[in-house]
Amino acid sequence: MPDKEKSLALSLLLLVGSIGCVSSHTAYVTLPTVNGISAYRIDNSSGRLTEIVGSPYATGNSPGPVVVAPSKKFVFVANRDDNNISRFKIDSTSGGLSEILPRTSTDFNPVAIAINASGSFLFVANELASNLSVYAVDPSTGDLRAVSAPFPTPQSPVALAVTPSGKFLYVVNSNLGAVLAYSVSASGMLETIPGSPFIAGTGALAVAVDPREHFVYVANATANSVSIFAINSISGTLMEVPGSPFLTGTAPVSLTVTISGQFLYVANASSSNISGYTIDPRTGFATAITEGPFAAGTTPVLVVTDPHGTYIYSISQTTRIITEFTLQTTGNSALGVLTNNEQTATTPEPAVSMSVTP
Amino acid sequence: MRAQQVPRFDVFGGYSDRLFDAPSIGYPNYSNLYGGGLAGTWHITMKIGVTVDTSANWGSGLSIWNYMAGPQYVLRREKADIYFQFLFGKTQNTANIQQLTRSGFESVGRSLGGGAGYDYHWKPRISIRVLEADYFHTDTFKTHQNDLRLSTGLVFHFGHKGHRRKL
Repeated sequence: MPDKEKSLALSLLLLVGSIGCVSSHTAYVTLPTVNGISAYRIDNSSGRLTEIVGSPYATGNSPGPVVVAPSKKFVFVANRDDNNISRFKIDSTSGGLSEILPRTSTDFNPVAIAINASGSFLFVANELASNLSVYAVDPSTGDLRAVSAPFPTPQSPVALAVTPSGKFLYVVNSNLGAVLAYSVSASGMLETIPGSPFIAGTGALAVAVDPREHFVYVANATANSVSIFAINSISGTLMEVPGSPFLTGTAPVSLTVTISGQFLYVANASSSNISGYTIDPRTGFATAITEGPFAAGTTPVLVVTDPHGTYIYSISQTTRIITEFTLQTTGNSALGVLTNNEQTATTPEPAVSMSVTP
Repeated sequence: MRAQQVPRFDVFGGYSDRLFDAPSIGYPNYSNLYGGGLAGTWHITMKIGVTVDTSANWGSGLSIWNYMAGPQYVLRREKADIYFQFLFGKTQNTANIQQLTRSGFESVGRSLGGGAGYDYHWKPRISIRVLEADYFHTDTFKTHQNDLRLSTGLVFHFGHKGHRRKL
């Protein structure tokens, strides 16, 4: 074979080996009306969302909260009507999901779910049973084992968040408009922190913890405000920061704090926008970003930070759209501004929860 | 058959590598799928033929079956043939993501493509397909894919259509 043709063949083979290497991660969104969970791949540079083949994958009845294990091997979904948890294995190549049976029982109406940073414990709030389930997670199989009988709470725990160290768990109770605080032992046992519950605001519905473990944020859906508490790093007790609560839009139902801890975003369902705040790292004082609030489609019910730090997502149940915002963190433009980057995705049915791989 | 004769039929068998547009269905990168192919070509004239092409490729939890046909144009030389082809047909793509009630997801869709190849005359009845490169546009899983396939192998010649011109 002539040299020219040899080199042509070699060039084509090299082309085959080199095309299309991009970095990306995945996100999972629950769809209760079709009993499924959709999977998306997110291009790290463009933010483009691509639905993963086979999506949505079947879950139990009325899947609600979803969380990705820090190992990126498993996804856990609470099936609210079945009172159990589906465990999915993440396909390491495609990011698609394969459920592993059996499902793990919870108590009545599991409405919130969280996993600690090491992936060793999974926490579930059972709203109608008014208690918390804690499970030890097998790191290799994702198998869940209850560490004890559920821990009783005051009526209607609706949201929870565990601190990055895994030492403290904060649970929002909508009836009390308060935050319940627990310390978490090495074995996963919960113990109420003295002074708990800590009063937030009426209609408290969502909670988030600062990644640096300095503050707890609570969205008060009826009071149209966000309460901010400073965490005592030793005891886990909460103290409301000066100026709290801070005004939001109408019906704040979800909130998220960026991985830097610098910015807080609140989804206002009735005013259909997202309020943004700059957080003072010492005092926790929230200063509204003047360029906000940011339009977020119709009735945003969820706002989520991408752990990769670049994007913020909001979900509209009525339009079934995931809106992706680019977070301004550097440069000359105003920091904390959210720019709709037009990389939206449409969910096949209304979504209620979203979790992004670390 | 002497080397300067043109066959009536060719049968190709060999190895193929398909660069599958996996990002279109949510995979992180293009996937190299290995496999093989069979093709048969009926030379209607010295330069024009009709080819039927099948191939199967798999890897990374994916598999592709291709069933295509189309016209082929051949430039005949004393020691080699260079050909160009247009193909259309069906593609069946499968993603093996285990589910409780099924082993994966499958989609069959339209496929269009074309490419070119180079056959070196090794023996009177056998040529070496040094390389065939084809581009395919397929419609599966409710989206589109743009794939590249490279093939190599042996071509067996049957019958006698005529004599190639000496250069």
